[in-house]
Formats: sequence, C-alpha cells, structure tokens
Amino acid sequence: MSHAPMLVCLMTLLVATCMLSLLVGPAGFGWSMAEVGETIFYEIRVPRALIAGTVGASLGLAGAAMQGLLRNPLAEPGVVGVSGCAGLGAVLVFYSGLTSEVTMGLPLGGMLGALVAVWLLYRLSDRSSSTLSLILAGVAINALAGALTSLALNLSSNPFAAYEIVFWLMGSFADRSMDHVWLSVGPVLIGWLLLLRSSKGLTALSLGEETTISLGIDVARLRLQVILGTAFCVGAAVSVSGMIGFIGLVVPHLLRPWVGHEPGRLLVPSALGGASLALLADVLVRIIPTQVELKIGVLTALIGAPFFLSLLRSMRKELV
Amino acid sequence: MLPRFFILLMLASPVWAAERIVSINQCADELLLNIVPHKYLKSVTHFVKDPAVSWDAELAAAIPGNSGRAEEVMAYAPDLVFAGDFSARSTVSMLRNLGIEVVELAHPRSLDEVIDLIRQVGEATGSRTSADALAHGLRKPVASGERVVTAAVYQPNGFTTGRDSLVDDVLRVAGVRNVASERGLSSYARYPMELLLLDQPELLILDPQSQGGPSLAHQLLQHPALDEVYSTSSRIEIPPQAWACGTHHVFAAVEMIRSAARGRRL
Repeated sequence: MSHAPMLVCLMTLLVATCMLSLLVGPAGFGWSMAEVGETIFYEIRVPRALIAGTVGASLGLAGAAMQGLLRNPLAEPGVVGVSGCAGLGAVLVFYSGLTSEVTMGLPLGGMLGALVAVWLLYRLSDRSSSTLSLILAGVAINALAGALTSLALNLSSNPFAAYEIVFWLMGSFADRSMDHVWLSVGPVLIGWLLLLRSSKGLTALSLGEETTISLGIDVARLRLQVILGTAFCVGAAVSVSGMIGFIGLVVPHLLRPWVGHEPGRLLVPSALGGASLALLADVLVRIIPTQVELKIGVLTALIGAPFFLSLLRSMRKELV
Repeated sequence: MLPRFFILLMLASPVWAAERIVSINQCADELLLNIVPHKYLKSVTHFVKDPAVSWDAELAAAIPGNSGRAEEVMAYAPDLVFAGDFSARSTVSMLRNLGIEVVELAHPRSLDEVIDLIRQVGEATGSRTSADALAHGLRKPVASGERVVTAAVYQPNGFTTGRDSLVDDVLRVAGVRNVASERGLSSYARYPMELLLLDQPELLILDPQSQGGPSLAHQLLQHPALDEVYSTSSRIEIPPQAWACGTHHVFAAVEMIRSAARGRRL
C-alpha cells in the first residue's frame, strides 16, 4: 500500500470511530435533538470525542517523533516517563489551587512536567543510545513521578483527592467538558505544528547525524523542535485526560512498514491512527458493563503491554 | 463471656451508667454528645470536633480527640467503646481481645432506624431518659398531599443515593420522588451525568462546595451541562453535617428539602 491510500484509510477510520464515539453513552445509543438530548450531545459527547481525538493524535504523533529523534522504537511518552511527569506537573498546579488564578495553569503545568522529562531523556540518550538505558531511565522517571503525584494528592486537604490517583495514572475522557477542550487545544496545536515541521529532519536523522548535517539540516534545532513539540502536545493532553499509555508505541509500530520505515512520513499516519485508537478504546470503556466506568488506560495497557513485551523480545540481541 | 454477662447485668439495673466512654466513630460521637453527660465522655473523634464536618464541634470542644487507634483508646481505660460498622475491623477486634466492651452502631437506613439508634445509645450507656427526650423531639412531617416533586442527589464524582438508604427515606419523608431510586439504583451508586440529564429531576440536591482544596470529584459538579439545565432555584445544597451520619441532625435535612420542594411547586 502506498502513502496516499493509507492516509485515506486512516481518515475513514478516524471519521468512523468519531461517529461511533458520539453515538455511544449511558443515555443510550444515538441521540435526540429534543431539549435535553441537545445538551447531552453538545456538552457531554462532543467534548469527550474532541478530547479523545486530540489526546490520541498527540500521543501517536509524539510517539512517532520521539522514536525518530532517539532512533529507538520503544521511545513512547508513557514508557519513558514523559506522560508521568506531565501528570505530575498538572497535579501540582491543579491541587494547589493555582488553576483558579492562572487560566492556562493546568496545561502549563503539564507542559512544564513533560519538558523536564523529555530534556532529561534526551541528555541521557546523548551519552548512551542503548535501548536498555532508555527503558531503565523511563522506569526511574515513572517511579519518581508516580510517587510524587501520589504524595501531592495525599497532601491535598480535599478528601477526594487521594482517590484521584486512578484518573491521573490510568486516564479517562469521562465527563470532560468544553472547558477542557479550550484549555488544551492551543498548546496541542502548537505541539503538532512543531512536530510535523520536523518530519524532513527526522527522516534525514535516520541516516545518521553526519548525513543530516551534510543535508544542511540544523540538528540542534531539530532536537529542540521535537522536544518542545512533544512537551507541548503531550503535556497539554495529559493535563486534561490523565496518563494513557502505549498509544504512542502501538500505533507507530503498526504503521511503520507502510511508510517504508521513513520516520518523517510516519508522523501524520501516527497522529490519525492514535486518534482512532483512543476514540475506539473510549467507546469500549463505555460499552463494557463495569460498575464504575473503566479507565481508558486500562484498555490501552491491556493491548499495549503485551505488544511492548513482544517488541522487547524481538530486540533482545540489541539489548545485551 | 464473663464481662459481657456483667454488662448485661449492669444494664438491667437503672442505677448503672458507663462512666468512661470513648467513641472512635463520628456518628456515635454526635449521639453521645447529645445523650450522655459530658463528664463520662473521655474521648471523641477528631472529626466531630471539626465544624466543617460536624454541627457538634462546639459541644465536643472540651473533650479530647482521637484518631481511632486501639492504643489511643486504651490510654483512656474505657469501660465502654463506641464504634461504627465501618470502623476498622482490626481495631474493634483488638479492643475486644483486650477485654473491652465495644458497641458497634449500624448505619441507619431509615428515619425510624435513626430513632432506634438513639434509643440503643441510651440503653447502652444507661442514659435512657435523655435518649428518650431526644427521640421524642424528632417528628416526621405528615404528608401534605401536595404534588410530589422529583429530585436527585448528585454528589462529587457523580455518585447518587438510591433505594434502601437513609437518604432515600429522607427524600420520601420530605415529600419528593427520588428519580435515582426509580431508575433502580440502590444505596450509593454511580449516576452518569447523561442519565441525570435524561431523567431531568426538578430538584438537584448537592453537597456544598468543598471546604478543602480543589478535586476532580468536585469539579464535575461545575460541568457546563448542569449549569445549562439547573438554575440556582432548582438546586439545593445539603451540608454533610446534616446527613453524612444518621443521627438526629438528619431531620434538619428533611426540613431543608421539604421547603425547597415547596419552592419548586410555586
């Protein structure tokens, strides 16, 4: 399959999953435009689908870009701790009450957290590009971010806060409102723009740093672009949805063969695929009959973690 | 067996009264503070001393607080300990193993059970007269025969209270129909916002805004969809002090909801 038909397929999938997401909900399949049906549609289902789509796209896109920059197929915002730090940043801002004073505080907190993590990882992989050290760094960053998030929530004077660790670690699009859409959309779009503009550079980088320089591409600028782009879109996404793992790992990996393993050409398909996967998983959590709605990160981990293990297995030689 | 036998014996005689009472449950605190002479109350929970969650904070001001751990309780050398049925199992069994009489108060599921609970506390402590006096002052309003208003309780995190619960009985006695119960939800259950909007109760019963820091659980109550459908006149806030525990205070919640429902009928 060449590039264009694949994009058409992914677009169709995105439209289909988006429609499905708008049709499904506790109030029943479909919707009526009479009275309260309109409120349910515009105030509950539309923001939910919009957030699922933009968050999924951000995670897919950032996953593909990070894999290109670090030249490592296991680099994924969740696995390496970028989402974890974004969550920590958002938690610190939200529960300290800063969000009531700084309108954009929530996504800013997420972006700052994500930036710290990407920068740390980048510094680390600069010295040693081994997959093992990247994964181990991810384990450490995730553990630290998780512990600090839990600590921050337990220090809150609101008795509900401590239980909200589930939202931040497992993610959810349930009952998010248009307010959350407006909060996240700006930084997310800036992040997408930065990442998409790095596409040529990332393809060049897959041929080695020297080749990239000889092509007249400023490598330092490229890095900064990917780091900032990831921090913007992942940080803002996590701040409104919590951490949702593995989307950025599974989607680029599945699509890589279709773009001839060119990292630059993987970006747009990964964004479209990520959005579709998030929307689909979000439809499933509403259909699966659990007492309290399942967190979406549970589903993506159920799909993603075995996937991650099989990837590790196939890379065993490289790891040692 | 022996200590229990003695207690029974002592309960039977009207002269006896527990003299070193410790409570590790806020709901028990509220009843004890209003029934038992305070000189016999050696310790109550920290919660009941906090005006943000208790209307009895002032009554409890002079009594030492505890966090419900066995060690703290033992330090007061109590002859009677009150716990709730949600109190830590390990603490209760530890105290029993140490030979202390523990009365566990069940969470009432109706206003009649609240009255029973008040009498139970009076019996156990030997303060029957004041318990009877407290119970006597509580009257369920008589059904007025007016149109019944529909209502739903909507709590942080989108939870509601349905059938077989004290809150459901409070709503019924206050003269409103609980739409969550009619939907088949029972006791404390999740009530998705989409369903709440679909059911369109005329009266939305909420918790007051959190006294503590922000939380996602409370943020949900500010969802724009709720603002669109429910004006301030169709909302009522019932403070947790009134009905988080099933004590005499719950009758205040009945009155608040009754008058709010009256307002909706006009």
